[in-house]
Amino acid sequence: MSRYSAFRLFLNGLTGHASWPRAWRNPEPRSSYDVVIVGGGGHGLAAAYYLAKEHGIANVAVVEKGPIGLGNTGRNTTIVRSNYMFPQNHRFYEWSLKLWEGLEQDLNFNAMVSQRGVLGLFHSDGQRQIFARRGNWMRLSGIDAELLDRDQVRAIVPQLDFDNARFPIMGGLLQRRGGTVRHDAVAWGYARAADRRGVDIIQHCEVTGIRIVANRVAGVETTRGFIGAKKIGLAVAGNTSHLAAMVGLRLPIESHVLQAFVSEGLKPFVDCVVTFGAGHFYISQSDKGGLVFGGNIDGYNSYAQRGNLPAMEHVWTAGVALMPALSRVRVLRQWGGVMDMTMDGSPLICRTPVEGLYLDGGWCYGGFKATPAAGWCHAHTIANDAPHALNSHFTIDRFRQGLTIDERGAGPNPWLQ
Amino acid sequence: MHRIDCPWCGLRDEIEFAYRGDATVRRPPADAGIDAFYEYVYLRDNPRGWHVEWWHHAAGCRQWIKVVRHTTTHAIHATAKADEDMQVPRS
Amino acid sequence: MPASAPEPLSALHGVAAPGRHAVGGEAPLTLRERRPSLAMLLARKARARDVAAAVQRRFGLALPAPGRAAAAQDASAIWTQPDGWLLSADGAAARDFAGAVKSAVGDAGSVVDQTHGKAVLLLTGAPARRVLATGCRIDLHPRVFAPGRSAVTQIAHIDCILRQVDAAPGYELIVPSSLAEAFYGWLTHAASAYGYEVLAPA
Ligand SMILES: Cc1cc2nc3c(=O)[nH]c(=O)nc-3n(C[C@H](O)[C@H](O)[C@H](O)COP(=O)(O)OP(=O)(O)OC[C@H]3O[C@@H](n4cnc5c(N)ncnc54)[C@H](O)[C@@H]3O)c2cc1C
Ligand SMILES: [Zn+2]
Repeated sequence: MSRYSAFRLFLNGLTGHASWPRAWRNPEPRSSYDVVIVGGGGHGLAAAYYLAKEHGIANVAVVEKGPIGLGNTGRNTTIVRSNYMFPQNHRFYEWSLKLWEGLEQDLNFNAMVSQRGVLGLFHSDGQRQIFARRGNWMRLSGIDAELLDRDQVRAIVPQLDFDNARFPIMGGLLQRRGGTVRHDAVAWGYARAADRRGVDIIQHCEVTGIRIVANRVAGVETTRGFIGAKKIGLAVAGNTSHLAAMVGLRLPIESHVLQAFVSEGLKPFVDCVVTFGAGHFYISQSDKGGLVFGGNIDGYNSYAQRGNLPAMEHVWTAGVALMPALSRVRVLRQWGGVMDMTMDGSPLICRTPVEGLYLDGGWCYGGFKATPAAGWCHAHTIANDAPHALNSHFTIDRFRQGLTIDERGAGPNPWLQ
Repeated sequence: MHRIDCPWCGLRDEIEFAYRGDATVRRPPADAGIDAFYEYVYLRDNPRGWHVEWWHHAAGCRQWIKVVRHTTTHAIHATAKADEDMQVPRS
Repeated sequence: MPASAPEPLSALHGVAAPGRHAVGGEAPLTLRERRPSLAMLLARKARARDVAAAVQRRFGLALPAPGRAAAAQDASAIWTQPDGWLLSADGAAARDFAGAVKSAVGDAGSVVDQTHGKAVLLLTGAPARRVLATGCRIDLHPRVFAPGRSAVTQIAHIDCILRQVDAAPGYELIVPSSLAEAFYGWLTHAASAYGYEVLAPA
């Protein structure tokens, strides 16, 4: 398959873009694979890609119940950043950010990686302390973080309510290397690159069971028949508990719904990503001009990919409180995605008690930014049957051991994480 | 929008309530050991289907109530006071 | 409280100024601040009967069932939670009302003075139901809600104890005093669609 380039774009333009080849094949499932990855979101596709690229394991299938990329990968607000406090988190997310920085070259795909900056606002002395501590902790690990005062924030986002706000803005923590990435392009880019290395991407194939022989995986039962596998990796976002239950495993996870919103297209209005933690609101502007924003999870167990009105009202209220001009903006689209909320707000990339079964899940509302590193670490864990140092703490067992990674300090209440 | 029939107050909107999670987990005896507490505190069935759960009527009668709710349709099958046992429908 | 201590001001002092706010010459709604003494009464464990008997003896008041309010000569009560009520009194009975309730129930119940913890507004007039419907999510239609009914709910995102006092209809709205001004702003904004008159506090 040919490489994408400006020259190719020009050539195809001459024929009205009618002769682009398929970006990836649509193969029939083979009877067995070395590795079957369940879930064709960014995470599953990235794991398959890195298995082939980094570990020379190309006899891999990604099995997806619908079309690829229509789960949370295609439903999220696309914010990428590595501004976490705990080293277990920021080292991992920083590796992800580094992978994002080289991703388009690596995949030969325009994923619209836009390092426009992520600005988190604070509104009190106490919050400033926490942000300063987080920023310092990041800088000690070599990650960029700048503590801004009120005037510096005003210079970047003058349209915030600085004069009359319910939560007066005192400053912000800016990570300039953070930003947004085009979500669909991430799935498509990984799919195309994995396919080119020999990975089979099998869409419209739902996994309905996991066959186990003597505590070792043998393959997956699917709506298109049994597919044998020496190893199986789960990357099914909000459905991790459901798949784990197929092998009798209970997890420290509840599935919850998070909503997102897109406005009508506007002229450039917000240059960076702004997060308003005190009011549960964050916003950025897509290249098409739509304001992309969201807030907190609805807050009850749900596998429905839709949310309810109270959460919408809350998000819009917070938005208008922060940026009064938003009161005149029309919302065009709204949707929900189902996420694994873990008991400490941190993810799982690990082995399981079943030999040959691996897990990449528990991403809460923040797993898009993790896509490259999660795929990379998941692939490493599968190939070596052992975690990389970057994900060695993201185990199920950390809860039993008292080694939770609770960035928010919300305790074992997934609806509060 | 969930409309929750509080056994004390009647039909109310979900905004009056605070969600408090799976109502089937039971606190083990104090000497039950680390595994029992690990399961109690952290592990959940997280079913795709009917779910028995706590809702706290925080802006109403202040009581914790039990609700049987479906996690894909959001339909509410039944509600009850905290000390009642709830039946989960088959399906 | 020493005799010289000034009486605390109402949370709506200077906010609920008397005046007519007519629409097309009409002001079908009246809004009046009330200043009763308020006491929250919670029965202690398994003592609800004793509490009810004591309140009956002392005030001639039968404590109401869930979702109901009751009134007697000297005091009235709204059910607020299982074995819990908000009691109120006006006039002479209002003097040290919480103390009177406590001395009546003794160790069968706990009493907390709420006189300055809450603000009370009375909204009366034909469009009152429609005004409340813009911020209250419970059904106040006469088929399901009538004089004598009460509810603990939220109106315009503010905790509110609501009781219907008559069929005019009139509703008593009891809100936390720290949020009373915000609530008043919302209520008058909603009422301004129909026209209203603010009367002097009673
Ligand atoms: C509204 C919203 C906003 C978000 N915003 C952000 C953000 O700004 N930044 C950020 O970092 N993260 C964000 N997230 C989180 C992020 O979207 C996810 O963590 C991430 O996309 C998960 O990727 P994934 O590939 O694991 O999941 P998905 O893309 O959901 O992929 C999982 C796939 O598994 C498939 N599947 C499930 N069950 C089966 C089965 N039985 N058989 C076969 N296939 C199956 C699904 O169809 C799905 O395609 C947000 C999430 C939501 C819902
Ligand atoms: Zn109730």
